Amino acid sequence: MASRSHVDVNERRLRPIYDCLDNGNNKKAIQEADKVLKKQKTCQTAKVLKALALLRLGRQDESSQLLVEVHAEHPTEEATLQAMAICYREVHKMDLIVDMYENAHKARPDNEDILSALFMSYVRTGNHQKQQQTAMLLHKLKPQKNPYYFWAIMSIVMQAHNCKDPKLSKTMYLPLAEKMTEKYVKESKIEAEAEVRLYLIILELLEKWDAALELLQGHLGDKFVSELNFREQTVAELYVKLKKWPEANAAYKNMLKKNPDQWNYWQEYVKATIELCEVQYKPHPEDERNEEIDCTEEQAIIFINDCIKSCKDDRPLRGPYLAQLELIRQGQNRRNETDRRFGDPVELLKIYFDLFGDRTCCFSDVKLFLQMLTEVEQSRFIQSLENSCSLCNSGEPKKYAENVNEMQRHTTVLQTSRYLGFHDKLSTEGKLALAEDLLDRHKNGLKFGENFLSTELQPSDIYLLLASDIFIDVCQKTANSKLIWQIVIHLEKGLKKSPSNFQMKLILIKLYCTMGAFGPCPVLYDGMEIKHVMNDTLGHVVSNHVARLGHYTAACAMYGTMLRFFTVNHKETTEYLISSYKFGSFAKIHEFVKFREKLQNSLQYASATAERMLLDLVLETDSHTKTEQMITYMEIDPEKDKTEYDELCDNRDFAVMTNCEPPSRFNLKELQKKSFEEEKTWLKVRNLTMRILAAAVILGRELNVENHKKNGVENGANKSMSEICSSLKSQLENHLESHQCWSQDPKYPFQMAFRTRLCTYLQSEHHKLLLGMLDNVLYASTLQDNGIDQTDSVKEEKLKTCVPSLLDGLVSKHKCSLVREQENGQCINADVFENLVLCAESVSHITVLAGVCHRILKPIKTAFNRRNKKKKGLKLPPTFEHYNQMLTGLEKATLDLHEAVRKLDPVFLSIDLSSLKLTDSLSNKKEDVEFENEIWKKVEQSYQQSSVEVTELLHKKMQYLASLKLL
Amino acid sequence: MTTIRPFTCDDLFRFNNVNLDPLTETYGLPFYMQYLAHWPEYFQIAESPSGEIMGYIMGKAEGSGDLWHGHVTALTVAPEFRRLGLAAKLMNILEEISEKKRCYFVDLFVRVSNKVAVDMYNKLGYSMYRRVIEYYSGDVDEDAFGLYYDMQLHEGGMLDQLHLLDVHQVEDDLSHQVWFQDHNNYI
Repeated sequence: MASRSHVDVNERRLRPIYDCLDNGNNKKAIQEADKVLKKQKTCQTAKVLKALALLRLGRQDESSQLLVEVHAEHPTEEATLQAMAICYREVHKMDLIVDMYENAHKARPDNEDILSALFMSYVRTGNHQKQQQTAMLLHKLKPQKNPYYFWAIMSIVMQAHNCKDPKLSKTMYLPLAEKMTEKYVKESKIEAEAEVRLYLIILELLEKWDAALELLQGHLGDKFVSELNFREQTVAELYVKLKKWPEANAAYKNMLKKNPDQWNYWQEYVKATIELCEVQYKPHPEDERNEEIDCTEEQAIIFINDCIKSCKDDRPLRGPYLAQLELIRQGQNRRNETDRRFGDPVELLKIYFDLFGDRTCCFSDVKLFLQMLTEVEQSRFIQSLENSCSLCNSGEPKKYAENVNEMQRHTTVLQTSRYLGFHDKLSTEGKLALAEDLLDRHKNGLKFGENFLSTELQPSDIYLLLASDIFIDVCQKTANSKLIWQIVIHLEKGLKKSPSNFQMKLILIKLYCTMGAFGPCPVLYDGMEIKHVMNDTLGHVVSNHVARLGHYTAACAMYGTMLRFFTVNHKETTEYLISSYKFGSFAKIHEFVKFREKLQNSLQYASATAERMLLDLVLETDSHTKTEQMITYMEIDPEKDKTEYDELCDNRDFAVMTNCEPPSRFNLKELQKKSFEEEKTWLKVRNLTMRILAAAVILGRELNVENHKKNGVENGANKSMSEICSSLKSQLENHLESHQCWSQDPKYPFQMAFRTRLCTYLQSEHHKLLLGMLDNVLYASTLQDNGIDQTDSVKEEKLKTCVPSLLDGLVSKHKCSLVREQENGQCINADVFENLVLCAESVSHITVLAGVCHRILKPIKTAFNRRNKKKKGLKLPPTFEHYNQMLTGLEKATLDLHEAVRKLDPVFLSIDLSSLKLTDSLSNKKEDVEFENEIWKKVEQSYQQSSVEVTELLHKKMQYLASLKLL
Repeated sequence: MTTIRPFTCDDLFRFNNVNLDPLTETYGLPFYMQYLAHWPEYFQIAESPSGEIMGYIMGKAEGSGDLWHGHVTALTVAPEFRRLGLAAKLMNILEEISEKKRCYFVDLFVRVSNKVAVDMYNKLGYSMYRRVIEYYSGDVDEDAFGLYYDMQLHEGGMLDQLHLLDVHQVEDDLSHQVWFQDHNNYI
């Protein structure tokens, strides 16, 4: 809590205010502040504390009024400054903190506290140059305090990181930082570990590996104590960097003796050994380290075996066993040839399996080494595993696992077999038979976890997950929705027994969404407690579906949560940069800065922002006035895309869902790269759409309002809004033209990302609707500029028919019934949701644009009518009539769409999904039937929800359109 | 077979397989960053050969005078990497660092229902010294056991001192608003 350094009269008076604020009693804090202010009108601190309380009560205007007042007085009292800084931090006005402390510093140049706070304020705003200057002022003020000097040096290092020109950073900033540090080294002024660490950071950035090594090995190296093994480990790493292989080999070998299970040591040790072997290194006879250096693979094997032997009595360590395989793997990679002189990997893997096959980590451990096997070896390996595992025997009677360990061995075999692609080689019948067998074993294995807590996972879950993987393989080949529902039922059932299994939840979400049902997903998603940074890494699990399937309420809430994470966190994390300077954790400073950038440039952030804005714009608007308000409120600059596409970061985590997919067809990196490209392309479509809508709305407003300030955004280039609209139009056209490749479904594997709506959008050419209507807007605007008698017959025709007929075509193309007959029963038309939802969105967008046309044409019509009254018999220009015809066409098509969406509601249609035989039932047992009915109920409700929300939206659009008639 | 290394910010993007476990809490970013900034050496992560995150430990050193001690804030191992002795290994690291810092003891809190964890800590030599009522808030609040491990620096043991330990002092929560800055840099 508040640690107050000095207590004086003033402080005693203010204390009640602090206490109220600490306790969250803001109303009382205001009263207390007023009490003080009554006695002492000018008490700045009381004013500021009052401002803080007001702020926390959401009374921003009053709060900022007080702050402006005090700010102008240039306060210098520490208490005032601290409280003001808190206010500014809460409203994220970091530059005002800077200004405030600059003023205070000018008034009291010798005050250390103020100067130090000024330094921190520059840290918040990322002004490294000012940081450096301020730290030097602090240093001059208190030359005996080392931290200030090293803050200055760190600020220079940050300038080197930030410098666009790497040459400048290497020739100017870093050498300066190095020189300043060296000065302290020479004068023996170094005190703390943090200071030596910073020196090391500088040398490493300069790639002066020799100097870094010297530093670590010298007396200053003694300072490295806080992190375990830091010195030893860094020395070894530097040997590798310097390609000093004998030293590296000996160093890692030494560390392995103490820590034979540390994987990265083994990797480096093996690497060094192979390098030595390649150059046929001969140790110098006098070198005393000779016995420590292993310069051939044979010697390495001896060492590895010694390690295995030395821990015989304890629990066997996995490290040395895997090191044998690593030796073969690295040798093979280095020499680019299959080399079995140093062991038969199949045999070694088998030994590993015998020792550790009953551990759940076994598969993950051996995964790395499976790819070096030749095809023949792979078969041999699987064969030997299957032979040794009695559960793999398909003979009768079927043998079940007798204990968890036996079951675990079996699943390790199955995972390995899947990874090596043996499941892919099975026929469809073979796959189905295997999956059924695994389901059976899952059920049987549940007895091993009967008394488990709900927080523990069932040991047999892995069978169920593998079975669903195999079913999904079949579905992806044959698009069999019956089978999808089967997996849903099995997983839902499995989840009842193992409610904490997030893998099942992730698969279920995907399956439901594939079938067009978002309804069951929020419970599953929230059940995983997705929060904080997971919004960024796992938000993709729901974000591409929720709006796609028309669950708008859920969409607003979910995007809202995601966006809150990003904005709040950006505010809060600056404080930890400051902590890093205070605690001397210099290595973390650049890491934090990079991390903040990654979050700020996150794809998920940019996408959620775009989707949320588009939703906000269309959801509540049933008149053009509302649309205009919304656009003003959003402060969009139509000329500028806020997203820097090249800077975007893909922080989505897919690895969590995939572990034994065969690498031959599942290259996570490649697939994620592809999906990232697709997401960026779609994001640009969304951003352009938003900008087009904003530009058009502003255009409509501008022509009627004298005020030419554009949407609160100053327009420097003074480009007219209609020019901007035309430019955006061609930008969207060009963008789509050059990305036609995405009009095909990218067909990612199930465990990967779900595609965006880009392919659906392109296939149905939704942009033609938007741009067609934009043409009408631009035409209307030229009529406004050039006079209503300047009509163009081609454009008039377009105005009348183009967009309505396009929309009509789309609606007719996509409307269809929810349930379709299939050869072996009935199935759900899952695609219909996405198609009709996208149509509804396009309707919303063209309605906005129609609103702009109306906004432009209406005054022209009024003027014309006025003139006509004075001077009878003026020829009525065709435009008004054409516009009204267009509107009638839109209303008709929207009504059609409304009807089509309404017919997706199973309740409205009185369809009972459970009676449709969408898939086979588990059994006729009452509990199974009830359980399945529950699932169907959820799906039914979800379809109803989509239908209701989209019809509601369309209803609003019909009201909107009805208000746009030119009378 | 594990690579144990310092936790970095980027690990926050990849720790889902560990944190989706229902007993592992995911905190707001400030919480992790506070630890990274203040006690980076106490925040260590274990990675498997294929690069998956196996688990991590988060801790700190705090308290003054006789109560100077190491504290385990979070310790977690992903389900598939359990039964390998990884948690014990991570605890050893934390204890070793605490020993270097001349801490008198190491303490931690654990849900009373988390029997697996309580057993493990007992096996590692931790004993209970208190029960904190409703330490964990949630749908249903839960009590915590306060466990400690004596680093044997004091003759006669630590137990007498431990009762002086204020729960709030070791509360795993962000400190309250700091009104006045102190100037002890690099503490």
